[in-house]
This record gives sequence, C-alpha cells and structure tokens, in this order.
Amino acid sequence: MVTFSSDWRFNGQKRNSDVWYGERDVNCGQLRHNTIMQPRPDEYQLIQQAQQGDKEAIGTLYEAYVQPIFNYISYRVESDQVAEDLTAEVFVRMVTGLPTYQYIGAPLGAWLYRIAASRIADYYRSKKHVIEGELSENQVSDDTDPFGTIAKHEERARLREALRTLSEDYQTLLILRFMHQMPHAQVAKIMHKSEAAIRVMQHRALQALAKALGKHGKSRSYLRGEE
Amino acid sequence: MNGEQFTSEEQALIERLQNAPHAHLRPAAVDGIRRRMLEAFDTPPVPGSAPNWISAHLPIVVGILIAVIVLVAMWIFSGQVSPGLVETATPRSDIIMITETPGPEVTIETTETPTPEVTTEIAETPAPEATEMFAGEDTLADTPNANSVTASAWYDDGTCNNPPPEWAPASGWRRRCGSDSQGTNPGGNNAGQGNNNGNNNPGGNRGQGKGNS
Repeated sequence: MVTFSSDWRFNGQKRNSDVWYGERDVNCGQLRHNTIMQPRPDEYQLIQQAQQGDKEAIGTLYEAYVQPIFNYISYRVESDQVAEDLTAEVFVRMVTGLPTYQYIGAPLGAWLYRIAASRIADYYRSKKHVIEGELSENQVSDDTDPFGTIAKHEERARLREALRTLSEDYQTLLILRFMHQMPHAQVAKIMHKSEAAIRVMQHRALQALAKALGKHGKSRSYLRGEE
Repeated sequence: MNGEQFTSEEQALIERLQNAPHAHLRPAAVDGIRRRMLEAFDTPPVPGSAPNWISAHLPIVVGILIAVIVLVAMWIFSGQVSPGLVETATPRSDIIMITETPGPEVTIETTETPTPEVTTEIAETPAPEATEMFAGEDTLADTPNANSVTASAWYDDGTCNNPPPEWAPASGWRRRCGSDSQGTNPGGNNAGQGNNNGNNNPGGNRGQGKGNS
C-alpha cells in the first residue's frame, strides 16, 4: 500500500489543494495555454466585467479555460474535431449564460465543466458520431520527437478508448481528479456529489479503468503478435 | 487528512493518468472558437432571452400571480355575498332592514287553516271566555253547535223546551222534538254548510229516523 496525497507540487512549488488544481504550461505554436485548469486570482473581477459586456474580460476567461475544457472533452469523445466543436459550444453557452451567472465562490471552471458534460451527453444522444482519423490535426506533443509523438498519441488513444467504456461519472471523475488533478471538493462540486462519495467512487473508477485497460492491452498485444 | 491510501496497482494507474498526454488546440481552432463565441455574445439568441428572464424573476412573477388571484377571488366572493349591504362600524337602530323574498304576492284572506282530516275555524271576533260544547245525545255529525261568528253556543238539555237557534244544526233535537223547526232549519242544512268535522253527511240524517220515538 502506498499513500497518495492530495497536495502536490508543480514547478517545484507546493500548492494548497483547496485552491490550486496544478499548473503545467505548454507551448502550442505561438499560443501558451494552461493544460490544467487554474482559476485566476482576479477571476471574480473578470466575471463582473464580462457580465457588463467587456469583451477583453471575456477573452481572458476564454483563454484561461479553453484548453482544460478541450482536454476534458477530447478524452470523452472519439475525435478531436468533435471535441473542438463541443468546446466551441461550451463557450457559446458561457457567453449567453453569463448575464444570469451567479458567482457563489466556486471557480467559473466548475460551471464550464458542467456545461461540457451536458454537451457531451447531448452529443451522444444525438448520435452524431464522426469517424475519427487515427491521427488528428491537433498536436499531442512537440514535433521534434516524431517517435515520442506517435507513442504519446497511442497512449492517448488507449486511455481514451478505455475511458469511453466506463460510465459518465467514472469518466468525469478520473479525468478531473487524476488527469486534471483537482481536489475532491472541487470534483464534488462539479459532479453534484459529496466528497465522501467521490472518495469511494474513485476507487471503483480506478478498478473499472484497470479492467478496461487490461482488456484493451491484451487485444493490442494479440494484434501485435505478442504472447 | 488529505492523505489517501491506494494500492500499488492503483497508484501506478494514477501516475499513468497524471502523465497522460493531452492534445492541444490548434491556433486556428482557438481563434475559430473565440470568433464563434464573440459572435454569439454580440447577437444573443432571442428565444433564449425569455426563459432566462423568467427564471431570473420567477419568484417575483409567482408572487404577483398569487396576489392577483387572491384579489380576484376576494372581489368575486364579496360580490356574491352582500351586493347591496354597506358595513358600518356599529349597529344602527334607525335602519329598518326589510327582507324581500322574490316570488308572486299572495294575500291570505281565509281564516281557515287546513290540516289533514281536520279543519279548524278561527273566530275573527274575540273568543268567548268559555265555550259550551254540545253534550247531548246528538251524534258527532251535529257537533259543534257553536257559532263562530257570534261566539255563542247552544246545547241540548234533553228536552224540547230549549229550541236551538237557526245556525245550530241540532239535528237530534229537531228529530226528537218534531217537525216544527224543519221548515226553518232543515236537516239538509248540513249538506250545504258542512260542519267540516269530517263527518259530513248531507241530508242523510233526515231519512234515517234514528231515535224518532
């Protein structure tokens, strides 16, 4: 048995689990995005300005959240193109819902994740699935290491395929809690569950994912002629 | 209390998830989504505005609706109960309240109050202090020998010395004491008047010859 702490360190700095979700900035062409959602200290001010029609504030909020939301969606749908479309729908919903949005202390991201989950559910209900190309246009990593890029792309495809066999709750929980490294309290708020329920559910979700990956891994090994 | 215990398998899986590669939006996609978002911001959908407004002001709308319903109900209720009455703080003795009952006017002229099998005549003049009821041998068909108009009574004393007045049927006296008075007071008198005692026997007493000794 090993112990996993909800406190974590990124860039050599320990963050308070109740405030920060983690921080991993990456380069993506000329743009710099946060891969993991991190609420800005001035978020409340930005929301108020955005509600008054300040497009610059809206743009700042968009840049803060577009990448984490896209990441979340991309692991739950079969293609990055679909993930882009759904991401756009999430932010359209954001600007149309901002006038009536009430800030209750939770980060704006919590609301956006709920919108994203709702849009994904609508997408699967509408059966508008798009056949995914094995390699999408979106970059998985930098282009200087083509072998590493392929390996990462395969790993992402394996996780995505395994995650999509799980229930909606398990998918959201695993992505937010472990991929996006959110604390229990934040995940509980987004999923409308208690922290205790999240703690219990995460063990079951991990078991389900291990089972799905095991099946998936065996089939892949068999296809590659191993064992 | 933030520490959590995971098995080694779970821990390995967690690390794998934490290190999972993330796709990054293409710059063109980032710009495209931003453009689409700002277009939606500039031209908010009209159909969406009504539900948002309603949801935001729902408590106020519900409150107004309830108030309107209560006022209308009170207005209707008060109109049905007392359309012409004006409430005063204290009772007033100078106001005479007349209650009218809708329907045709009926003038009560009779002094008779019909009841099943019995008809009672009520005298218009003051009633006598004492009414002597017929106590002779006459039948019930002859009773009562009392005049409600004059408030007088006659009774048969069993002799022929006390002739009955004209208004008294006294058929027993008349049968017993001869035909003198038949011309003045035929037994058929009962037939016309009827004594209304339920034993109306028009002229029947005349031919029976009962007690004609």
